[in-house]
Amino acid sequence: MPELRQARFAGLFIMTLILIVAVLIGISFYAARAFERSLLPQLDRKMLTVGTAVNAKLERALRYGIPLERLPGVTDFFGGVLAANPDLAYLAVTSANGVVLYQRGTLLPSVEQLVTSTQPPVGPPTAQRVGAAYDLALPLQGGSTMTGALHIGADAGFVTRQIHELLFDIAIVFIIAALVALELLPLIVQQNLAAPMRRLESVLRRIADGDLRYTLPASHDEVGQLSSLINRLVTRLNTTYRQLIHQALLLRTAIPASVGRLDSGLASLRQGFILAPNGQPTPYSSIHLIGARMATFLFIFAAELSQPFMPLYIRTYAAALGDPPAQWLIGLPLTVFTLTAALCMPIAGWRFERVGSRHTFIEGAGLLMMGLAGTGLAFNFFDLLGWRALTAVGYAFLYTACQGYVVANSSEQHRAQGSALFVSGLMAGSICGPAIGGILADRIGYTATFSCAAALALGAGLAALNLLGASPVIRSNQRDQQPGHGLIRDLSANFRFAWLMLFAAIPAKLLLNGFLFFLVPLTLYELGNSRSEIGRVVMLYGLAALFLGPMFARLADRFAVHGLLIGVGGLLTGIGLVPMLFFPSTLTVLAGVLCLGIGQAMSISPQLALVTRICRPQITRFGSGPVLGFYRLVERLGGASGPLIVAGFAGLFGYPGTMTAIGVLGVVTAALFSIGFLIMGIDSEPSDQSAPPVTPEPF
Amino acid sequence: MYFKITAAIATLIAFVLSLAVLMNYAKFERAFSGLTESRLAFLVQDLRETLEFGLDLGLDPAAMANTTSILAREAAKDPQILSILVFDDQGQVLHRHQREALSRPLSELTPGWFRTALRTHPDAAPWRISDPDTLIVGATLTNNFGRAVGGIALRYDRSFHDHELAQALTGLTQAAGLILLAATLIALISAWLLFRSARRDLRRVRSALAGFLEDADSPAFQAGSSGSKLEIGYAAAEQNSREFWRRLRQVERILRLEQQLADQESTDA
Repeated sequence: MPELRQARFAGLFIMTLILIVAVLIGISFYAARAFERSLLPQLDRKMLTVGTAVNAKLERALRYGIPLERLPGVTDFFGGVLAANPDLAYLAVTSANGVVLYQRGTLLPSVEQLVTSTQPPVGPPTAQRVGAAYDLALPLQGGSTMTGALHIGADAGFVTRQIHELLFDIAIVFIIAALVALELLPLIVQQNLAAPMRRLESVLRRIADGDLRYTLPASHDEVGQLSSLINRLVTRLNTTYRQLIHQALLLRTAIPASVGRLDSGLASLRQGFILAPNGQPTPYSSIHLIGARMATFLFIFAAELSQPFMPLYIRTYAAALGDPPAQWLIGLPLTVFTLTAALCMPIAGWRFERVGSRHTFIEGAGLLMMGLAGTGLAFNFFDLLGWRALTAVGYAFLYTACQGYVVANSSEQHRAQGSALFVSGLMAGSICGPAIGGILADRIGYTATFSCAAALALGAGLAALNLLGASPVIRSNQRDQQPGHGLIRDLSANFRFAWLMLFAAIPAKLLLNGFLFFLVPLTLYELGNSRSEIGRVVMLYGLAALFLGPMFARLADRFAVHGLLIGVGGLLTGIGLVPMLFFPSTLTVLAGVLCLGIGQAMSISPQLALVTRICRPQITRFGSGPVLGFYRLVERLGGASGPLIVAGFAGLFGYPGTMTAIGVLGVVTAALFSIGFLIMGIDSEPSDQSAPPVTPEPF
Repeated sequence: MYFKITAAIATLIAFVLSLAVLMNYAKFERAFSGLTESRLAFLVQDLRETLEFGLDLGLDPAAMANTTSILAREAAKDPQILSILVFDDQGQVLHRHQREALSRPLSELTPGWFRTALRTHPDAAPWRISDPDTLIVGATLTNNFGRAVGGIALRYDRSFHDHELAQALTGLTQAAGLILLAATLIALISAWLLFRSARRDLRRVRSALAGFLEDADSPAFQAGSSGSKLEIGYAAAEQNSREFWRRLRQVERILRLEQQLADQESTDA
């Protein structure tokens, strides 16, 4: 039966996707028609304006008595006009008998077609569809006779081209909508059907097993109506039982001789049944992690909305301090964000332990909202830094609240599943955010996009009221903990751990933050890409990580090739960036982002698994929480240094040169990591324990 | 339930449609404005070439007598052209053609405005500025020695332009609204079709349970061989409830008998 429910959900999802495609086709089709109606007359007017002016010049020459077929420099003149008016396809002059005398441009129709279009017009001259072009023919008067015709052409696909230029954006909207549907539909189905049905079945199963302690939350829908009846049944059985017990007690007091008979009757009555204490059944509750996934998706979506244009936005503020601004000034707010988020994680954890996930999330959403709105309205570079720091505090709170909620509400056996839910929400948000952010920034500007992000953060906070249940206080060993001095000393003495951090973990985060968040937007912008296009390229990283990450994690576990995958992933990331200096193009950046996505998907999960193996003595002594906490902290600090280091390189080598330089750095560190582990080996035997929940860090 | 699922899908489709409308409108706005501005820029460029021809002959821009008629001729090409001005490098208007019978007077462009326009656009390429009423397309006039001696400013009625844009946006929004309505209906029907068997199960179980609550001796619910998980679960729960109910009634009878016995004993006593 769960299969049936899954099939229903799959049906619903497919139906939604079909609807989205149909809707996008419908609106695009309408837009194409509407564009044609409005743009063609404008194109016509443009052709007429240009044609009239060109005609006047040609006729002036004819009036001086120069024969039409001997006008000098006409083709060059046409070239100049076409260069200044790229929406025109060609200019041509035909003689009175239809011979093409001069022509320039593309899409020129055949002579027969031109002759047909030169027929004297009944009214004012209008463009006609001739082959692949709209052609406007204007008569050339040499004195009182018509000596030829000037043809002005525009691409007939002008309107279609406008729609085609949108196709990439429309495709992105479809991908985003599909991802949002993948987040939203399970939540709705879960909350309104799957979870109530599961609760219903669970309580019925309990009744079948003789457990009469639970009632169900009643609602106004079909499930709620049945729940009410079940509650009536359970309440009636409990109440009747209590009444009989009460009656029996009275009889026992009144007739002591009946005690034996009554006791045996009552004992057999409740045999095999569990009744509610005091006859008051309690509501059956179950916690669902799907809400945490949606909450994660929403806040990551809000936080990542500005990612594809953040360095460009910072540059406008940094320019006030020096034009052109120093590269490190552009990198500084990115570093402040990552560093603040990393350092605030323990504070967020402390808050989470005290007030629970819902409150922490709502506080985080409030901070994120203020931070994002402030970033969009910043007065100068310095208050921009402050707003970025505030945004990072909110981010840390939200991240901790969601991660903590999943950890606190999933059993040991289902921890990995819970973690996967959290990660999928996180990755989906990091795909949708940049893509939509780029489109919005292009259309409505930076400040309005930040306002949208702030509104989304507010929405996430409001949603959390419903999505995140009151969770129990987290057990201290379930979360990344703060390392003590003993642990730091111990881990520093672990040479393999130090090697892994220096040549794999830190470079991976440095490249991610330095390349993806700093270099990609700036380089692509310099190469003439719009913010939508930057968003699309940045999105590829998330897509690769989302779809390939779980596959590589399974491969690493199955064949115990964690070290190999980390090495290959690092090499791939580095190699992907090297060609940029030699072939600086959008395609090279795109390839770099793709390599980064695949490389990181290969190495993130195996890194965590490797830490648990090479740090077995420290984990035994201090517990996995503090060890992983220290690993995370160092990794995040590496990430924080990324934008500043890369900005330093950019000041020296320019953006393409810097990409190559950090690519070489990536190759060298990955090679050193591989050589080091080939020599040292991995000390411990392959772990028989499953790896701890893998939660890739998005920054 | 169907309504909630449909509402979620409708929200998602509204989000998709609003993005699509936003993108299409922005594209239309760019294409439409681009076409209009490039046409006007061509007119201005043509004018600039004509006037610079006079400058090349050594004429003083203020003294070029036929300029006003040239401006009038160009303005006649498009009824939406409100005015064309020729100004010198100090921002003083030298020649002006203004359309008669304007619905409302045009805001005056100050000498400072002209000087700023010249300073910020020193090259020959046409420039475009917009104010609330007009689109302004201009070009800098340069003499033989490459010195900016003045400029041309053409003011174009925004109302037509804005009306076209508003019409496009309204059309797109209306189309999106209709598409959303149709999609919502389809979503509602699909959700109903997809989940009707679940609803049927719920109804059957609810009816059986209501019957059992009404009359505990009513026939027991039969899940059937292809029964759903809910039906099978309910059949087992009902069976156990009947059993407990039977025991309760048995104890109730015992209690009643004991009570009768006690009453009889007290009467005898």
